[in-house]
Amino acid sequence: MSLLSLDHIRHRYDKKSSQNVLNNVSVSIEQNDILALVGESGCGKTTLGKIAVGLVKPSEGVVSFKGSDISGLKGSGYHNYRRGVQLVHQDPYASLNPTQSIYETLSAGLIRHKLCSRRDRRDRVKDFLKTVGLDPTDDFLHRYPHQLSGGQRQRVGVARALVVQPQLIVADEAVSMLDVSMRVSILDLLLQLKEDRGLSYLFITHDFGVVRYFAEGYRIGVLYFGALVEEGSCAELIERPLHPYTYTLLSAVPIPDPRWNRSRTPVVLRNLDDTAMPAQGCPFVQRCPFSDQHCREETPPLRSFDGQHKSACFHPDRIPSNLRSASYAT
Amino acid sequence: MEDFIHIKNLTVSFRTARGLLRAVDQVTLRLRSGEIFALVGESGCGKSTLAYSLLNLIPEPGFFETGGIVFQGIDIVQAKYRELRNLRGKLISMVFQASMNSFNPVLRFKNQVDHIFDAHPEVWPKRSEGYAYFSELLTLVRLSPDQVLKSFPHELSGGMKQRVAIAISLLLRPTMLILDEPTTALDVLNQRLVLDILRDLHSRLGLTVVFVTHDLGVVADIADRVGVMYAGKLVDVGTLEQVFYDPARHPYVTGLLHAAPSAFQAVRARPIPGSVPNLLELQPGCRFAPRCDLAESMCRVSEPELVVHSSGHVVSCHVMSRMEAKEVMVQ
Repeated sequence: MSLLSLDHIRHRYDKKSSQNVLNNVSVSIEQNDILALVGESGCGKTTLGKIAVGLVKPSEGVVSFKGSDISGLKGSGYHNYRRGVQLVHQDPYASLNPTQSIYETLSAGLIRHKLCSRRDRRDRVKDFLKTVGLDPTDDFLHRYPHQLSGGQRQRVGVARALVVQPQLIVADEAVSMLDVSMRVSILDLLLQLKEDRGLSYLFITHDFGVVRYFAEGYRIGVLYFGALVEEGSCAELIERPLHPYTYTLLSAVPIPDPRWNRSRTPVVLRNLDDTAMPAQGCPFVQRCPFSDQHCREETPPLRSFDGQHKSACFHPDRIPSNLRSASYAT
Repeated sequence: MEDFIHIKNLTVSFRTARGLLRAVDQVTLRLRSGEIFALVGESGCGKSTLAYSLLNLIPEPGFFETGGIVFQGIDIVQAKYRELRNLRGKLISMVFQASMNSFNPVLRFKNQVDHIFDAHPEVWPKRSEGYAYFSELLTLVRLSPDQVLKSFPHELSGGMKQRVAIAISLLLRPTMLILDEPTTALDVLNQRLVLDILRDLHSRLGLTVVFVTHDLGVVADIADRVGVMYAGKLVDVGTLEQVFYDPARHPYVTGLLHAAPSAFQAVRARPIPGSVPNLLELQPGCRFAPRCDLAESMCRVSEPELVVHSSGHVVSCHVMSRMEAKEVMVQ
């Protein structure tokens, strides 16, 4: 039984529109597991995250937490689900209430879920501040968000998710607003928490470097226009992508190595501004450098290639395998 | 190559309740005609303030404490209002951070540019020619003028709006373009497209480009030369090759290169320990010393100056400069 599973999720924000934000997406996350979701802006990855934490109700499909459909949960069952799945937001500058001190922000969850007595509250909050590396804790307790740096704020965001002792954290672009020198330390913190507490992550990002660091040994799913087009193990998917969209994204990633950059095959960018979905066939067909008649007529289903690696493409064999190159700056 | 702009010992300070904050501290830098220069650093390092200085656009309570910026015989720091009007947008233009969100939501793109023509009627005396040039620029940024001109801002994607912003910045035919984080809010594919377009514009229009960014991957892709800033100081200036491969580069640059996780390499990324110093509570010595693996006692006492190495690479680091000096002596 999966910790959280999303089955055949479809979602549209506007009931009159025919375009789905999410189109038949199924993913699942086990205990002590990581699933990274990658895709460009507007692909539906944030919506999927919101559906996972219960902030958005999907138009169609089932979300189940530990085997039970959350739409049928009431009372303590629903409370347990909401407590068990927490969100770390993208923007540490916007996601903390500027009028509340760190103590107020962190104790709100403890009060709401009645997790400790009033007397212990302060000590509990301090414990969590220590866990996320905001030490000396007395110093931070009564500060306000504007008195913290971006990295410190994001640590508060992580602590806020942790105070209710969740089993799954949905991290939506949790490090993309942070400076490069801070990113890895937040990622390390999240990985350490996974080790210590057996947490699972639904990790949403657009940065393949961050994904490689965070989800090595786990799975990546690639979303394109609301559809899951590829899913596979982290290293496998990045080094040998089986969907042309993943290939295009990977070959567009800027690499901080000028010599390697010069030796790379240039990316073919086709119809980037054309955001209308084709009426039939593969959703990627207009931008795909490898498409043919078959792709225009029929939508390729997500199917399995060598075991865990799935792709929704008729011609994964046409994708060149020259992404990886030997040299790299040190 | 000739100097295009010469920034001399520039200090830009802000008066705060807790004292003077020097956002840009004694920076000296020469930009060359026709190059793409990337200004790199993390948030708060002063890279945007330095870019704003090039247009004398420092908001109160900021002011120029020392130094000057020489451009075509005038000092931008001392320039009069009339000279600045002739400079801003016409000689040096800027694409501001998040400028794709700065369009007027109730005007079609065709009319977004009207106030630019009103402010500078001398550049396009015939407005029809101005619009024609705008269409030409839209084609250069790979948009369809027919479609874009009649659209409202909300009808275009973020990537398309960013490209319209770039086209508008070039409307008065400037010789230099400053871009502040132009690819930061874009996804990978749009980022790639904007970089391709900038390279194209740079060669077609003969522009000198200053590219402000925190992303070393983007720098590696587009820059000819690079300047790295840390806590208000320029700490490393060199060619792309020097900054990325010269072992005598500033230790902060090495730290940045190792801090970003890579998609294609299993090398573990390492964060730079500690955090950026508070510019109001600076300790004596090198500003990077508390976070530096190589720091010595000297680094905590005296602040290093920018030193030109034998390779031409300019670095402000006691340790690296000494290593350089040894090499020179051996030779």
